[in-house]
Amino acid sequence: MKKLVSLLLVASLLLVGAFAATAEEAKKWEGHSIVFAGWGDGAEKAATEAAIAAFEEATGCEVTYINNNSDFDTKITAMVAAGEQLDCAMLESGTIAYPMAEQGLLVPLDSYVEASGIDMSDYVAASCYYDNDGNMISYAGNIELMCLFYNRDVFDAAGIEYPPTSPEDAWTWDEFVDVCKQLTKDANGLTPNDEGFDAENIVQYGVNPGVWWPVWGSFILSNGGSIVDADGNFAMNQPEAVEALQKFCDLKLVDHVAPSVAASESLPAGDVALLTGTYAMVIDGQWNALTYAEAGVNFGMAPIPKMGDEVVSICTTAMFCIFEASEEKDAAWDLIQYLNDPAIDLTLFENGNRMPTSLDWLTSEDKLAQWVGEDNPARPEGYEGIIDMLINYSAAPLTGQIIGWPDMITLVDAAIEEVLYGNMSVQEAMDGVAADIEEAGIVLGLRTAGAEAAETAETAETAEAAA
Amino acid sequence: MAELQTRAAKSMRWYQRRERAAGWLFAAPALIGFLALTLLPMIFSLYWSLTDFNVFKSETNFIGLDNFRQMFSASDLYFKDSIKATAYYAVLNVPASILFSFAVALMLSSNIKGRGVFRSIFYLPSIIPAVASCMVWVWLLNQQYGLINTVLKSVGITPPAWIWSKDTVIPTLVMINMWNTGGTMVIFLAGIMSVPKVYYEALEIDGGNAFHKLIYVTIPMVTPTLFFNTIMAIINSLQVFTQGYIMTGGGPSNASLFYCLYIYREAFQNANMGYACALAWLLFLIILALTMVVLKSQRHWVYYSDGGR
Repeated sequence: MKKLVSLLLVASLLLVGAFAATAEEAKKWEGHSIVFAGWGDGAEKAATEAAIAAFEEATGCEVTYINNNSDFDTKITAMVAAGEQLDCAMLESGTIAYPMAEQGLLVPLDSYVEASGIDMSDYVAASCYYDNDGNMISYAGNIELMCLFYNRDVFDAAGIEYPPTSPEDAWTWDEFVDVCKQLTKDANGLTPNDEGFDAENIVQYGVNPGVWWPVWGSFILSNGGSIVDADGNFAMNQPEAVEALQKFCDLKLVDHVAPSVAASESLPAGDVALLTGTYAMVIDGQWNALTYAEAGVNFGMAPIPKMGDEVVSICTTAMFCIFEASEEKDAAWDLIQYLNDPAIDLTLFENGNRMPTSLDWLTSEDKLAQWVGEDNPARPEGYEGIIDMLINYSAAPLTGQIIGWPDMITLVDAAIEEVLYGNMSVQEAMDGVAADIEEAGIVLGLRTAGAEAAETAETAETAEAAA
Repeated sequence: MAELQTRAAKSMRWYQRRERAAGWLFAAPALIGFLALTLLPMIFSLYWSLTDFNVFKSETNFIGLDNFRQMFSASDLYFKDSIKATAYYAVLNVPASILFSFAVALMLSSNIKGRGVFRSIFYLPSIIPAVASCMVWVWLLNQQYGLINTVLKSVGITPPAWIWSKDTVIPTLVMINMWNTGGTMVIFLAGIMSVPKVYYEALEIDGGNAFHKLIYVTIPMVTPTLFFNTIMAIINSLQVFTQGYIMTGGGPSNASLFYCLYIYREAFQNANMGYACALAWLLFLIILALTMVVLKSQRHWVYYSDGGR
């Protein structure tokens, strides 16, 4: 009898053990391990680690997170060259991502998106990147766009009304320059409108525009211009683009409302400059809200001015890609979803670093309350205008749109630098770039063209089938 | 007796063998280092320079001399700029750094008070990490808050745009490099100090002054040192990288896109390893040729007291 009891006990113990074991095994990726590489400052790293911990806890997958901020591209290039395990990574769309995609190193994600039941029409379209054949190669749940930041105290002191919060009422370029001039002061308190204004001794600038493609690109698009036209020709030397870029450069060269190249070398960082009123306004990416909030600037955010009929603000976002060489593509896809879901970790959305791409998170009251909130210093009054601009007035990142981008942008940046140093006009500079592109045989094109071509081919097929 | 001789010979052979083995053993670290870390990579890179090896491409093709042809064709927009920047830098830097470090060494060889302290001060910058000294210089040259500009402005001089203008960036970098010539200076100093005193004494008896001592004794006697330092300065100038990478990023308008910086960009930013290897080999050949020219020239101007043996 005793024997039977102990046997039963042992048997039950074994059963419990077995159940416990199966419960453990029920975790989806138990025993799997993936390597993820990404960049980001301390806060971003912490938030990423939190999302990864949640992923590891829920799936049992082991994640090696490589956080590398300097020479990220070099690190990735070296890892790929050495054949090290790298399953998924954040990638910079303007540099190595497309050269890698063109060699078939990145996994098309369309089937994963479909299998996960994600309807892309529920998201801001600009957040994803597509290869030359129209396959999605990056899925991101966060996005940035160009905004106008302003120091409320400077506006109050000058008795000038804040910039309009709705993109519909956004300043025209002339209105914007006019306000900039009123807010620019030299050492004697004179503005560029006054006689005897000393452009060499400016103590307060109306605006500091970021000199990089999403900023000047936004104005070119707003003015009806383009960077590369539908036929794959370099179009920045065409009238609309030249006009927009010249007006943009003239903020520094002619209007004296923005710091010259030499002067900006010695100005403090953007947050300090905006805090101390050295800049009245700044045009740059949405993520600066985090920096300004942390620095304690009494700032506001508004849509950027329009150069043409309507505001256009170019988006930027890091790519999240899976490598073709990975043996854990499915687990990597699950991790990418974790990293991009505001519901998993809200820190970076709440602190001003990012905006979500999910329309639900961008519009529904209870979701907005979680990351915009009322007393959130990183989300100033009028932030709904920024959300409106993202949903209705934004453009996809140029880096994903233009074939041949890395080679082209190096030439364009150098040419704009020449203009800002006062060595040539925008027209001359851009004609020079066009000549260089031709001479070097750089092939440009638009990726949307590839997608459209595929579409027309499909329609042709259906038509044939019908016939 | 004969047996003794064979025994002696035996032990001699054993000793020789041991000595030979020990010799190889001592040379092994250097030999293995040279073979594994220098010769082998050089052979690989020579092969890759003839291929279209790209990190992201799955296959690598042998393309002969196409990489070298591409450098000199119009399709490479940066090769000419990088050659120009590097040549400009070398042409300024070789004479400037040699003259400067020789002049400093000359002063430090004289019998002044606190000679040891001055020697340390002038050598000190050479042991500071290059990145750190570059960052210090960026701030010293800062347009608005920089120490140098503040001093210049206070005496009524309008400072140039230093590294922020394509016209002044190379001369500025050469000027900064004067700061790092401590190593060259020490070699000159050793050369100057080893000039036998008798020559100076003989010159004094003949009524020569300090200038005569410099022209007729010091300079001829240190020509071997000068020769060595010139070769090193040429090589170092053509391989300049850090300043362009840290301080200017190759700008403005590629004015400081040094050759090595361009190689780095092609290899690690554009992943074109094959092309980067070809660029590196061209630089190797240029340096080799220049060194040969200087070597050949030495019999015309380098004086060896032992007749050059």
